[in-house]
Amino acid sequence: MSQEKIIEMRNVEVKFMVRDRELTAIRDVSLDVYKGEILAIVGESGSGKSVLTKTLTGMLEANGRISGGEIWYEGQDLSKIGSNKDWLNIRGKKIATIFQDQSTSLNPLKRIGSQITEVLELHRGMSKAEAKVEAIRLLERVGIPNATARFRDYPFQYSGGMRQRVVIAIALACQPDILICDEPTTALDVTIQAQILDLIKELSVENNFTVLFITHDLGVVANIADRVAVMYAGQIIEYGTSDEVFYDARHPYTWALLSSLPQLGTKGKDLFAIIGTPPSLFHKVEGDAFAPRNPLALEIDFVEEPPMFKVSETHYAKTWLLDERAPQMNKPEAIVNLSEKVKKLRGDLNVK
Amino acid sequence: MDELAQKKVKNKNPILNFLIRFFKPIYNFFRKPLVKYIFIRTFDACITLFLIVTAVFLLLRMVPKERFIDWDRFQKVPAERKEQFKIDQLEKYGLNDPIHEQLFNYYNDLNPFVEKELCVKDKFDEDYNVVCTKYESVRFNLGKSLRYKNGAKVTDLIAERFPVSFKLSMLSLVVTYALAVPLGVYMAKNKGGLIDKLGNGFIVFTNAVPSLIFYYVWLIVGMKVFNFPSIFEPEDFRSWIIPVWALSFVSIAGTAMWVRRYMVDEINSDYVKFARSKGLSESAIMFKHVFRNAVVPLIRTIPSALIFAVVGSYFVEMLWNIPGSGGLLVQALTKVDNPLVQGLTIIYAAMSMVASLLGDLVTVFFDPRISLTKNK
Repeated sequence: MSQEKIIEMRNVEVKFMVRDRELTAIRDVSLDVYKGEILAIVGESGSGKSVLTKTLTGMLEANGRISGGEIWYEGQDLSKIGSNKDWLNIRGKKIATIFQDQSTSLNPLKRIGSQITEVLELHRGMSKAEAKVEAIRLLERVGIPNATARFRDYPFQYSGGMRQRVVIAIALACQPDILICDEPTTALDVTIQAQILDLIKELSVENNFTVLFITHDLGVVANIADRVAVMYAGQIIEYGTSDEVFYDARHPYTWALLSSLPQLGTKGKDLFAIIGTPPSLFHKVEGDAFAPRNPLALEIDFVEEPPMFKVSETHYAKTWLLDERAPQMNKPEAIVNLSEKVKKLRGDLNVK
Repeated sequence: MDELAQKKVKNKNPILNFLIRFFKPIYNFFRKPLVKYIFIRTFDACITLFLIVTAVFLLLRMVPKERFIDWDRFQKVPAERKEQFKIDQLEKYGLNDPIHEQLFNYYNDLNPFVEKELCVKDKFDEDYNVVCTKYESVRFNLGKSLRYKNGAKVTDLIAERFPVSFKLSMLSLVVTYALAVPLGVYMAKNKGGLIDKLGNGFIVFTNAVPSLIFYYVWLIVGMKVFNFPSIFEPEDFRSWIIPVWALSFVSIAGTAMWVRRYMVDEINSDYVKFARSKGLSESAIMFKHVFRNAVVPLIRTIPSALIFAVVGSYFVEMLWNIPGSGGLLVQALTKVDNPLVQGLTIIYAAMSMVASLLGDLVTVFFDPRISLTKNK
């Protein structure tokens, strides 16, 4: 992992107009993405993971806008791009996205082949014949057996996992710098999930692109990510290397999230669940957004928003617990010695 | 293995061998999914048609049989001969026969493989008996009208009336699609915009107001504003314009509504989102992906629209005095012209079956997901 930044987000804020009311989906997010890394963004539904990555390709819904901050990519502030025409130079070409539902990501009435060559002809200026050769090579690379024959098939003739492979092939077709994976394995079964994750990992090394991986599945994160950013109520509340976030988490929300891993549950006991619901983003959130659901909340959490505290060079968390005046709090029982537990789990499951 | 197979064939009876070789390609041809499908559908359609013919025939036999007699002539017969005339007529048309014999005769009339003698011209002799003066041999006999032109053949009536209606409706279909498709596409593309709002208003308005009112409005506009003739004249180009436009006007809204709806469905689908993330321009997405897919459910309706063009529009043809087929069935029903009712019903039923078959075949052609073979 290099230290060269490929994306710098500074105080990004995204607002949506919903039935004449303003909703702040992203609140003051600053994040750096380094070249060649796999950065996982985790959080519950509605925490703003997808919205945050949509700002990178100008794919926010029509009622949304970037209302503040800067997003720097290749010396250009993406938050200032206004016209769709300018986005066409970035979208697909530089930053590609693959979505959750592989069964609907492909046009059902067009041949697999033409959906790949379309991109090759557009972004890489290939002729029809060249594009076909390249498309077949890509299909083979993502593991479609008998690619030459299957080039002419329609999406309904492919299985779910194979369709996601095709989607990856299409995203690869333009040789992007950044690949955004928006929960790409959620709709797949576990064995296929693992294969797709391995494929994405392999390809990112081979083609030297950066991966932004959105998921709410912490198991997936542990498998694939170099770094993890945890989002809650439109903010990044903790980020660090994969090991730091898993084994040395500092934010109570991250603790709660890790405790909710079903793998850590004991037979016969109820699984851990976070009580309550996230705050409404229609109103201004006072203090720490997680405080009302946090049994360990301090009084100050309800009054003042915590700053980002530095834990190490790479590890930051947004909680008053890291303030030197805060009382000492212990991690929940469930995630103490998480690394040993995970090792044991892996041993049990006989996974490498 | 090959040797064994060859031996097996050689050992067979030469005649049998020849027959197998002769019928094998035919057998294989009928095993092709598309051929098999068309074959089965046609066969089904024939059965349906047979049932319709039977049902219509039996229903019309519930009408008192006196209504089948030649009413115009009946008026001319002197009073003392009237009773005899009635009896003669019933006898002549076989209306006194048992019902199953009448039905069988009707099937026979419809059978195109058998030639039948049909009286096409008749007159009264001095005793007021109807005598036939001219016979014609016909294959497909739908009978003779009781009301039109002294007993014109139903088939002749159809051949005379359908072309005008067909021309009129085809022109209006072309105008409708030419205007409704771009309108629907534009509305879907700029959903929520000014044109979309106006278009939606137009759709609701034309759906809510009965078409007849629009026809009158256009009739008046045509006469007062453009000075077009208000009576239809096939040779006069100007007299076509307003009827065609009036017909199109009321169907533009409906067609545009469906185009818009299918387009919006596609625009909101995930593959469009993915196509956008691939970096495709909006116009490429619209025409290469969205429109191509939205057109599939639309195309299905085109064969039936084309086929039913011959039926014409009752109101439009009535208002402009167009000698088309629009009012034919309605008039036949009100005037109890039973042979004509029977004939038209059969023709319309056959048309709708052909239309639905063609619609399905067109969909098969445009939608690769539809497979004609059973389990996959």
